Amino acid sequence: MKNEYDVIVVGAGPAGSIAARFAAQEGVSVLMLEKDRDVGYPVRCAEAINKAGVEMFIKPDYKWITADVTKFSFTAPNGKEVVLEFDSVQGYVLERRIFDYELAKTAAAAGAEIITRAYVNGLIMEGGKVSGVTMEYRGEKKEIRAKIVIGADGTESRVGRWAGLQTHIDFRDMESCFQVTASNISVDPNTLYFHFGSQVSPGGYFWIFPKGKDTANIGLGINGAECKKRSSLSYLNENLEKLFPNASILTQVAGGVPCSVTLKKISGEGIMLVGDAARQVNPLSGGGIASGMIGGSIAGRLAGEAVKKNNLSHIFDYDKEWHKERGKTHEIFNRLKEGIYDFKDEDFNKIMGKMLDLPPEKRTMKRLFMIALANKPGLLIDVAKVFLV
Amino acid sequence: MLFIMTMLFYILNFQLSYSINESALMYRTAKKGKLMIDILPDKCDFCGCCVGVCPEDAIELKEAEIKIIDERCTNCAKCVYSCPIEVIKFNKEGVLFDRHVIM
Ligand SMILES: Cc1cc2nc3c(=O)[nH]c(=O)nc-3n(C[C@H](O)[C@H](O)[C@H](O)COP(=O)(O)OP(=O)(O)OC[C@H]3O[C@@H](n4cnc5c(N)ncnc54)[C@H](O)[C@@H]3O)c2cc1C
Repeated sequence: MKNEYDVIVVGAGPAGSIAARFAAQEGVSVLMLEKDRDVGYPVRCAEAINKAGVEMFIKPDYKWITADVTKFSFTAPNGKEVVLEFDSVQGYVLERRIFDYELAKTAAAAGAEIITRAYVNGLIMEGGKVSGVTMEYRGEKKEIRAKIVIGADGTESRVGRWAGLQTHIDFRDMESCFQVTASNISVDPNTLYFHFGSQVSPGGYFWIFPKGKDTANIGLGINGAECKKRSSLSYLNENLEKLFPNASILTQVAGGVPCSVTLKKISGEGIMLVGDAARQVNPLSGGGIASGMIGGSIAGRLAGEAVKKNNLSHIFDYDKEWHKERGKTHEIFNRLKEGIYDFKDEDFNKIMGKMLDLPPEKRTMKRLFMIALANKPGLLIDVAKVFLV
Repeated sequence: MLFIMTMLFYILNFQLSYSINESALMYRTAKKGKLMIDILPDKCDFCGCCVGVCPEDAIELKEAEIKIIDERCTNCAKCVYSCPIEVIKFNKEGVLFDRHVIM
């Protein structure tokens, strides 16, 4: 470890690793710091991702893919189930403790240095500009200087705040989650299951994402307003008891998914934010792996270019580029999310009922949204926009 | 009436179950006045939900360590509400309450 780098990335999740890789590819010096002992662990994630999201950044490898997704199952509060089936693989369920590791290796291969057990506890500020980080590494305090710091420090992000950006989100937009990875259950290994309703997961959904036919990530997220009344853990325990009473629990994790639009400002003097830290999660689905990597790739590239050109204000283009690439779509997704948050159990029952009335070949994702939002014409236009672009 | 009795029962019950004797708790001060929030570090999963919703940057989270930065905390309780496993509690004079009891 040197005392100075061109770019320091804080956090070695997917967004951080891709940012580090793309910066290093520009030929600048990059250091990535991770507070945990291991890159990729603990896994606070249900691990589903769309196919294109993976392929943009790494060649799919069954070393870290546990399921090919070809079907989506939606269950209404009254138990009615709609299954949407596709001819080809739409996505994967990952093994993130290996996936994150492999992503970090691609950053290392591009030339980035990586260190774990390095807890960043502050920023070096000079004349209002971020000029490095302070950290605790193996019980010692250290200062490392950098031209640009990229905060990839996840849902719990503090790096942005230290740089003066407004990063905390409304607690109602934080999906409070609890998940187990369970075995000794029976699931279709190619189906992502979603359950809706005030009894199973108010203001969110309950998921079963398979990792083989006898194992799955089973969890739920509820929004802050609901969590204020009753904890995610208590809902999950109840759902498990009902649906999988004999499950063997291999892992349990709590977690938070920031489901909102992206932060107003994701770059500043010497600072950029990526992934959950920038609130780049798709607010409708809660998926943040792919979008975090996209954010990371833009930020990493711009940071590298800025250093090479010796023009640090180049990084301010990041906000605009992100907005064009994903941010705009997330604004639409966020409006849809808010429409769906208002749904009562009867609404979900009605929607699934209407879907089931259609011949199977007409049951598409777009149709599902169209039916769901039929009494909210404004939102229908949003759906059309999302599926047309 | 039954409702009130149930509530009372709950409150008493929670008082009993979370009552702790560390008098040190009583003297912690927040940004203004007493600190009314407490994290049970032994039960915490270190997931960071609370840090993400804290408007004051008043929570420090390391790999497996968490603590409130007392002098920044405004007792806004957003961390209490967002904790998926209810290990952040209201602390009244050293007695810990669950969120739905105080609401
Ligand atoms: C229960 C749950 C289920 C989910 N399911 C899905 C899903 O199915 N599909 C999907 O796409 N997304 C899912 N998500 C969201 C997804 O996990 C995140 O969006 C994604 O991990 C974000 O990546 P990231 O790189 O931004 O942050 P993270 O993966 O959270 O990485 C941030 C890293 O920064 C480190 N760090 C934090 N602070 C510091 C510091 N001060 N110093 C050094 N290092 C630090 C952390 O230790 C961590 O390793 C889920 C989230 C949860 C909680």
